[in-house]
Amino acid sequence: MLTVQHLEKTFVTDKGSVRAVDGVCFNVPPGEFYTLLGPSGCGKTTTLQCIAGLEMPDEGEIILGDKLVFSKTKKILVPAHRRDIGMVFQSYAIWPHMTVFENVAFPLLHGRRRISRSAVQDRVMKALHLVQLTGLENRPAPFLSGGQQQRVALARAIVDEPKVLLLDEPLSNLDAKLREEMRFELRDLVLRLHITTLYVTHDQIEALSMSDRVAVMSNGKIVQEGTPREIYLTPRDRFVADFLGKSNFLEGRVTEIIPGTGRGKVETVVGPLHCLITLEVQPGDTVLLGFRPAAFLVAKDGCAGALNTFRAQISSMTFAGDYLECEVRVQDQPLRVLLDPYQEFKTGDVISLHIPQDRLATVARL
Amino acid sequence: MEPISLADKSVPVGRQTLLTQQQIVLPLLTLVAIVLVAAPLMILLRSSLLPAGALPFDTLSVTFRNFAAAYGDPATLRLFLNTAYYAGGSVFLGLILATVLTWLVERTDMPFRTVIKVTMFANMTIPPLAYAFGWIMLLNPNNGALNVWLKNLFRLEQHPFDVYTLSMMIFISATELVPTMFVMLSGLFRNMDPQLEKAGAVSGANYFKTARYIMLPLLTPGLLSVAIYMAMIMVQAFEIPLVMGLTAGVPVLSVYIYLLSSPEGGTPKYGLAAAFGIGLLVLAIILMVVYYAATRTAERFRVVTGKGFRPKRIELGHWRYPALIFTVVYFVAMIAPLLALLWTSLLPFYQLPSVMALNRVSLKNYLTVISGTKVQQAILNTFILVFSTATLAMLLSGLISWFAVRGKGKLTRLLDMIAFSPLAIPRVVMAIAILLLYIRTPLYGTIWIIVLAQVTAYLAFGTRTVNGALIQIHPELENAAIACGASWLTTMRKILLPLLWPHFLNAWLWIVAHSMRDLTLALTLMSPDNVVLSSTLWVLWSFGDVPRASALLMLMVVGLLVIVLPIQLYAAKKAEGQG
Repeated sequence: MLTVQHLEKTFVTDKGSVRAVDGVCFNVPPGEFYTLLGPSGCGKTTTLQCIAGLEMPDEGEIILGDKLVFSKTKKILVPAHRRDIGMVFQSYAIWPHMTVFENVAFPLLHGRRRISRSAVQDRVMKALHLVQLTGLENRPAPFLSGGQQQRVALARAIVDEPKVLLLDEPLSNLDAKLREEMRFELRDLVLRLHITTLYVTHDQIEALSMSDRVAVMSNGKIVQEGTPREIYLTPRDRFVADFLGKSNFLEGRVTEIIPGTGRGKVETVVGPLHCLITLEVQPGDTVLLGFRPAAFLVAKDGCAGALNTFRAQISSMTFAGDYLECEVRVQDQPLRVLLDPYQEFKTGDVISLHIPQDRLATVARL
Repeated sequence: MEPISLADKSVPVGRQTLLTQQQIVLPLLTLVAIVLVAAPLMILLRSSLLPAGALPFDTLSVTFRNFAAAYGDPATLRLFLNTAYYAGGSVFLGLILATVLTWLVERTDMPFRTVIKVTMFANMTIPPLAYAFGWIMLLNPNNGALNVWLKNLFRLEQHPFDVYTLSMMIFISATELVPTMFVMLSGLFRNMDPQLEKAGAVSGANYFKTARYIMLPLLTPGLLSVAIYMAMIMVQAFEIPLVMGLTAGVPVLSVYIYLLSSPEGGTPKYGLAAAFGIGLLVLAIILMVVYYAATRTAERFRVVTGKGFRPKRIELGHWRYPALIFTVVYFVAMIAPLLALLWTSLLPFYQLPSVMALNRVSLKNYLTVISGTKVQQAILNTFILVFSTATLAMLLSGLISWFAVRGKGKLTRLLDMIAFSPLAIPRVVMAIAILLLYIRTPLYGTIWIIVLAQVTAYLAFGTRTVNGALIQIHPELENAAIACGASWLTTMRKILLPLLWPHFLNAWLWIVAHSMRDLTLALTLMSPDNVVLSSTLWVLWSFGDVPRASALLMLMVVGLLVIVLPIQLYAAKKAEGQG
């Protein structure tokens, strides 16, 4: 439904040029909720604006629905207002000189698929019903709360049933409680409408909880793409491991690669570890292993010496309610570990920790 | 572009346009701006190098005789000095009056502050000609009302005042400058952080010391930039020097250039006028450069912290009385000439106010002046002039500002610069240049040549106003419309224009008022067919028909008030509704 190929965009400023988007490629099948996740300045919003047609890319190709809307080599540029999209902006961009109804009716009256005035009433009311704003249609836009403005923006974006919905950090201006509510509501709405959605955010919780697939961006490039589960549990890149939650990193030397399994063995300070080999490496290479603090299992005593199991001493501990956040030391190597809060541990305790081999992966070649 | 074959890929191309609307509008707009601003200046330069009696497109020969004649003459130095004295004097005096008044209104607890503010804003409807005529009726050496009264009261040998002197010209121009300066300065005073003053007071300085050592140095860059800006306006001032300066024997550059191009007898000396025009242009450009340098310093000294605060007003105590007296005297000076004008407009011939004269009071002048066909033609012309000028200037300004603020690239920056440059082009110089450019076209002699000149002149004001307003509008509001499928022009029409409407209306109104007041362009480009109200006034006055000139002036002031006040109230309400 949406295909982006080798997209490039460089901004030239007084202080030199910045490569904002650097060879971005991805494909979103119909009905999928796809998220671009990254810190500010990673190029996610520029990518979105190139797709919307609000920015002109330097290189690449964009296919929206079944239409080629931008191609550098074929010299094709479909202007923004002819692209079949709906868009929600970070500032909501609700027009203050119009009522709720007029805002939502705008795409139908002045947009690409104009319909008769009598049909407009019907469509607008339906869209307002979908975002639960029935009854507010005659309210002037300046008299709306932040949450209501956001719903109006959403209704305006979906009212003419676009092929692709583009959402540019739509929840970032809401307060925390409302943001949580809207997360589920928004997800639910696009699922029901079966609209292909491209979502841009810097918030990992939004990305993980709403998306079918997530692409993590850094410095204008997509560094990892996958389901939220893949992205979070087995980051394949140091940046992804660092940006999404906290991670442990261990340096080691590859000693063995088991062909056909994507697995191997790496020698580290805590001993030999069996892990996923996700990079092109050879035995003898030095690599960095990454794994989540929640990846550990506490092994029963006596299992020492089993695969990926080692003894560790708790050096500090914080009780955080849902979990116990500990720093442990293994041969002087500090590691962050989340433990079951119902179990009682003390600082100084020595415990056996086990990491299943699917929970740690190579994230960088050193 | 060649037709695209996509047979190799089963992806059809979306509906595309060869050129976007912006890509069509931007070059057209730049072309219009160049024709409006740059072309007349080039013709001016060409004309200054013409042999005597020739017109720009007649010949290719080049001579420096005009420059030699203009700048070889020792009288020219006098001309420049007169201009400098007049502009410098009126700005200096005006700034002192305006600073005191602004400080009293913005920073002290003086009574009637709101009344003073409103009066200052309403002043924009009063043309400089009204002051010039009014003061002449009050202070002319023969039968000026004030002169006669004072002479009788104190049994003087001679009339105490003579309006036809440089110092009186300076005084009258200064009082007329005060409202504009007041508007410019009030922001400066209002936004000054009172903590800076408090810091001074805590260090043990009394109020006068704080004012001297803390406030004044902080305000200096701001005051200086207002002064230079006003000097830029005053070196090209035309009305008061024309009405008084000639009789006073103090010709200034702008009037002299006008007389060269429209002599009472003989043929116009366009070449010489252009040579002097270039001198005046250079003077204005120097002031413009200095103004830019000064405002940059003002940025460095920014006393506006942006925090919301209510500055503490200084309690005047007993000083309230001198402050009130000062204010009352200023307002009397503003109102007296208008009263003189009103009085004269009601009498069959000019005479001093007396009980006997009161019997002759009637509205007859108003009726006769209004029933004249020439005046009716002038009223019609004026309507065409002010409404087309304001509408065209705002339309162009709106488009230019959009490209200047939202656009990228060198062309948009060039466009912005071209639109701003008319500020440094003296009116009379622009009038001559436009006259020379269009003298052989059917445009010459019609009302539209004045429209053209005024649109050019108000482009600077229009674009500055819209630029300022547009910066405050979030670009996502426009992007949202485009993402909804609206074209660029629809977005401008349906989103931006309604949002900017109050600003547009205010600027439009300002241009209407100033376009009606303007005499420089209307007079220099005047022909029998394009006479407007301001030039009619001048003609009536110079033929000695003082009562009817006064009546027409009063009608013009009232007419402007009737147009300006309701629209301003509407715009203020509209702006409030959106805020």
